[in-house]
Amino acid sequence: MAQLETDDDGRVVYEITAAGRTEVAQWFQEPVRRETAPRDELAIKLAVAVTAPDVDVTAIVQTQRGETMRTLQQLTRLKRDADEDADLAWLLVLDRLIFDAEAEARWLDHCESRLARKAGEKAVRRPASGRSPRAAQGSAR
Amino acid sequence: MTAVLDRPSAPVTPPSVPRHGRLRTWLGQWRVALRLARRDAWRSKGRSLLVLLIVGLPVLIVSGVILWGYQSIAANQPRAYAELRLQGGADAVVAPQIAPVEQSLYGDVTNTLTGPAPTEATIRAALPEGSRLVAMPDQTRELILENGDWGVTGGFVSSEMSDPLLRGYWRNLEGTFPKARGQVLLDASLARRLHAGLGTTITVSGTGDQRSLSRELLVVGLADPNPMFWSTGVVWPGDLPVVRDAGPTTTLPPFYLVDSPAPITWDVVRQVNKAGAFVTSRAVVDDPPTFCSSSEICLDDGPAPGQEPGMVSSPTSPDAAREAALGGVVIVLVILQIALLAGPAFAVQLRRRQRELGLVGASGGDAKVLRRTVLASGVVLGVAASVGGAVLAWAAIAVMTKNESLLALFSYPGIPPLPPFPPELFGVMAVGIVASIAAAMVPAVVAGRGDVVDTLRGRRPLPALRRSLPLVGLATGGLGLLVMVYGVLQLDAVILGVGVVLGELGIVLLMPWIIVQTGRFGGRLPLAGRLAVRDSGRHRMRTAAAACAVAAAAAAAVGVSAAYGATATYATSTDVATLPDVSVVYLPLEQYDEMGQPVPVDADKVVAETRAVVRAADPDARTALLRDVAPAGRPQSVQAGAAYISCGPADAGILSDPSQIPCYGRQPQTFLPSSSSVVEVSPDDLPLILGPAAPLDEARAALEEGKAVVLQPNGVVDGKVTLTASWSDPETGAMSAAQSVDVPAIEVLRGTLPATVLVSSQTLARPDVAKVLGPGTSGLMLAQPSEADSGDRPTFVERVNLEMARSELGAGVSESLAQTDMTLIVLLAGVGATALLALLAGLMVTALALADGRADHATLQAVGAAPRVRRAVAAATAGYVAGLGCIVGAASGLVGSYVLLPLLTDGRGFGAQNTWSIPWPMVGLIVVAVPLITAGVAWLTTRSRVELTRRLDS
Amino acid sequence: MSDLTTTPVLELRDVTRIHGSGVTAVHALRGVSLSVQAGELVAVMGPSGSGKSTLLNVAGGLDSVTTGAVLVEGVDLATLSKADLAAVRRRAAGYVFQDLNLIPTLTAAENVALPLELDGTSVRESRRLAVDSLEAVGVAELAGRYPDEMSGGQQQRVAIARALVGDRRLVLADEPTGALDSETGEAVLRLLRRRVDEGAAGVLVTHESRHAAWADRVVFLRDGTVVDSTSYSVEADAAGALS
Repeated sequence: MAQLETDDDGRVVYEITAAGRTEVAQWFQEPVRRETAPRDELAIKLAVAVTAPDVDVTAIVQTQRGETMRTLQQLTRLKRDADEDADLAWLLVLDRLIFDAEAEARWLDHCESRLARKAGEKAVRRPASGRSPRAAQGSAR
Repeated sequence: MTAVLDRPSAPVTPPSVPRHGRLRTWLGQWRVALRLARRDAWRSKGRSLLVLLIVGLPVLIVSGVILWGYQSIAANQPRAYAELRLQGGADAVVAPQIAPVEQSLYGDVTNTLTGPAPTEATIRAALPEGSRLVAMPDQTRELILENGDWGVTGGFVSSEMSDPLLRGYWRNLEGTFPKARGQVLLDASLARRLHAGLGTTITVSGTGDQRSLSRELLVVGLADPNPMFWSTGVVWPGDLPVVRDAGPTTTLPPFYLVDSPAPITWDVVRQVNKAGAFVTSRAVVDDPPTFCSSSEICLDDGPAPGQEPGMVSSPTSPDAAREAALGGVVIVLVILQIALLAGPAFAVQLRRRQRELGLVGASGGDAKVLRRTVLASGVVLGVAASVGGAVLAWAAIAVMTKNESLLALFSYPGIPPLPPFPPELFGVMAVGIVASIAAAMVPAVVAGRGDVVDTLRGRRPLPALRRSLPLVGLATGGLGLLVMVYGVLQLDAVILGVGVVLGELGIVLLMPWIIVQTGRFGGRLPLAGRLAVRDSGRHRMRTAAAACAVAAAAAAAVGVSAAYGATATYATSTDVATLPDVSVVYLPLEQYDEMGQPVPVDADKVVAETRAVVRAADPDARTALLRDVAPAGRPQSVQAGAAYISCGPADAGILSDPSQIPCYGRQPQTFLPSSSSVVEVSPDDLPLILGPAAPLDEARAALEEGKAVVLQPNGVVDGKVTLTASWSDPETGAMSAAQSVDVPAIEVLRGTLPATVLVSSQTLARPDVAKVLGPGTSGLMLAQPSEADSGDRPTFVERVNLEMARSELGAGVSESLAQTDMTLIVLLAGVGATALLALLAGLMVTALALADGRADHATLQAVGAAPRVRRAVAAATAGYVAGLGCIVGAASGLVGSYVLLPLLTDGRGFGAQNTWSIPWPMVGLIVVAVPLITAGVAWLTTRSRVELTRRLDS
Repeated sequence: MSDLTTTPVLELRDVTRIHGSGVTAVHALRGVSLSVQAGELVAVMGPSGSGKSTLLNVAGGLDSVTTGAVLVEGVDLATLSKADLAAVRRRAAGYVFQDLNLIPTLTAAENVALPLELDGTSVRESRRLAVDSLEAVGVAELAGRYPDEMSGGQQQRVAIARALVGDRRLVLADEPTGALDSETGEAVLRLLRRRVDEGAAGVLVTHESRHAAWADRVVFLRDGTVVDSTSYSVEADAAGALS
């Protein structure tokens, strides 16, 4: 910003310099980079929970997903009530939050599937009673 | 109405209660179904056109034939003849008689009373004031017209033809009427036979006592004469000697044409009747009085009393019932065939409309609705095809019978009015509609059974073939076979027909199983074949319908081939084909004087003169005389109707009578003068009569020994033949007692004559024979030209006729016996037609399969298959389906023809002479050519690039 | 709408659906219970094979249940014949699929009028109700057009109009936005939401949370059972309670 002359009230009028204009233009044009390793509390929580032996991870996932879904519903309700023409900027931000929440819900779905598949495989490896223990030993390794 | 769904409690009508009433629901569902069918038919125009043709063409043809029949009958009605008579444009045609008369409305039924003869004055007085009478011109006698080598006989009208009413009887005039002596106008078709045209000079000479007359005339005009007043042409008055062609006692012309200022109503007609002439009046034809029918003598205000009412043909109950049953069976067969041909189209349509049906189901259409949706297509297309076909036929016949040049082609006796729209036509339309619905039946049932969820998913789970189906098919087919055998034994066409229907149904039921079985072997084929077989197996319904259509046609083709083979073999065994090219000259042995009384004739003289005539036409011609044989002492065998061993058509009743044996051989158009089939011949003439391939020495020896020679099988029993003579009294018509004599005879299965037995003068001289039989008074002469007819000379027969006209004998009639056996030609045509039908069925199937398989082809293309592979798949599919159909059809055709064998040969039931000779090359050709051609067409018409379409819509 | 004596428009009571038998049996649904009132939109989520489509199929009578009961407007579907089940689909429940919802040879109005006409309603009446329904979804001007003359979004609107035409108030939607882009999909969901708010009842099967969020209640299915269910209402939120 370059300083211009002081006006009668003593306020300093600033005007954007040419260099400044170029900077702003560049800021608009460059995409915002994402951090590659975000500090996500939820991700850490689940990662730890999976390794802990006595924790019901599926329940955690479902609870979290329920919460995320409720958030989603709330956001959607807000979107419903917004006026498409007047609140365009507000809608853009809302949509961002909605997509973010959806992404989280999707990831949680994915986790649930993975966990369910793993549990299924473990069930195969730990045979029900009646099967020969020798066969169980062979496949448990 | 607001958009708010404002219903606080369950508003729904219980599902089992029709909300708007049963009728409305039914109507609504059919309305939807018909709408969907209409739109679908419009959307797939190609497939719709196919069905329209398959159903519509038979309707068109049958309707045309029915209307043709109606028009032929109408053309024979008095009114049609009256139209013909009035063709020249006259208000009335008046025919003077010898006394006052009574007549029917149009003048064709007449009654002469007693009274004074008419004069021109009295006739004119009876007509309206200011009428103009034009007398019919004079006629010449029969003359000979020649143009170089070509010659015909005929008579002319001698007139200046100045009056337009006269000229109206000559149509389609080219050139002009004669304007001076030495000119002539000729009948156009006669001129063609004479190879003469405008500007040709023809020579006219006389016959009989005018033999010295000879004149040259220039042809200045050609026209078509009215058949009622036909003559060879028109000459200028005075150019040729005329003879008034009137009755013997009147000096008035035979007809007057009347041009009248006032219409000649029935009252006027009656006045003219009382003056002494018949009248055909335009006004009466256009607006006949209602108090008389056209066939009765009509008086001033009603029919003449004491007339026999017209014969009302009432169908006698047993015959009518049988005919109706036969008709019913034929109709069922026709429906079955049409349904089989159109079936594949509906099967394909079912697949195309699958999504649509699923949506209907999801929107609340139950199984019935789904069925109706498919059936509606059958209704829509059936109605369009049937109504269209019938209307088109009506229009075509209407145009044909109103167009004068076309009318001449069909040689109707009279001019019929516009054709009616008879109830039979509605029957034909109904049959077409039923057939179309029948074709859609199986797809409809399948649609109803479909699971909506699967349909929406696009899944078409192939239902397992019901175990019972092939068994039912086998049982039905077997039952059909048994019924056919029974029908043959009973010689009952109805039972036979039922058997054929059952047999066809059996094959239809069996076909899906056959497809599944053959599908198992598909794995061993190369890629294209494997895909083709697997694909056809997946679309079992379409494949089965198509194969059945081809099979039905192929079975018919093989059956007709068998008939052809049997006929040809039998014909060869009787050597019909090797007979010489022989003509028949009818001896003019019956002469009448002017009063119409018969005149005695010197038969030997006539025979000698006839021989001279033949030699004049062809000096090296050979002749043979066939003299009639009559009951002894009664030479006028024409009156003495005799029944000998005669041959007639095979019929159930006749077969039990041993004196009747079925005919085989060519028949001339007219028969021997007498009804006997025994003729007297000279042994020297045998080579001409029996042909060179016959055992001539044997036959000659037999005749000279006084034996008889029998020309048909089963006539000679224990070396003898029984000849029977009987006659009817000419006065009372009573039949006399029959007298028989056994004559030693040999059998010679040769000959083309309708004669059954040849005898010689030696045979007739035997004492036991002479008591029963003697020479008759009529006969005919066989003549054989020395060289065959060629196109640039008049034929032998034409020359004989011309020479006969020149001789003292006067005009005679001859005709050629050298006709090709129509039976064989008809059968050959039948084979061609049914084979063509099989080919058409195959091609149609191919077209459907190609259109249907576009999605698969698109996939193939996307996967990278070369165009050749796709063509190969298309060709393999076509060949597989057509081949399957042909093989199954040929097999069933062979079995059926074996069962029907007796009917194909000599119609005598099992145990008689049966020749099961199948023309194997012909059958093989059908079975091989049809699939090959269909495959070839498929190969050629598969497009090299196919647009990738969404698979979901197929 | 919180009157507990109001009959739910759709009710599933402990529904189990097994395909096949013995070793190869597939349990598409196991003991699923669900209840949808008028004015309620319920979303059903789950991975493929979880039984979502089966649930929708049994809700409209397209598929039968092995045990349990399905009640539409209070009528137990198990007591009905196949023809009567079709009547239910004509009068009470309408389907909306992912795409190809419309019969291509019928106009929009004719498509919407289809269930009414199949039920025997007169042409004039059904046409009138169809146009009304089209108006309610905002595409009244498309009444005379054919499906191939419409965009995907418009087609889905017409499909919704058909599902709710006349007296019908249960809409069963199977991934209705699956073939549409994000914007259009949202518009369709907005429309669905509006109609439900106006008194319809809806079951929306989807695998996208964003879309499921338009519902009052979200039910999660896995291997045929309900593993979770969330709902959000403004009042509950304000009260700070979970429902």
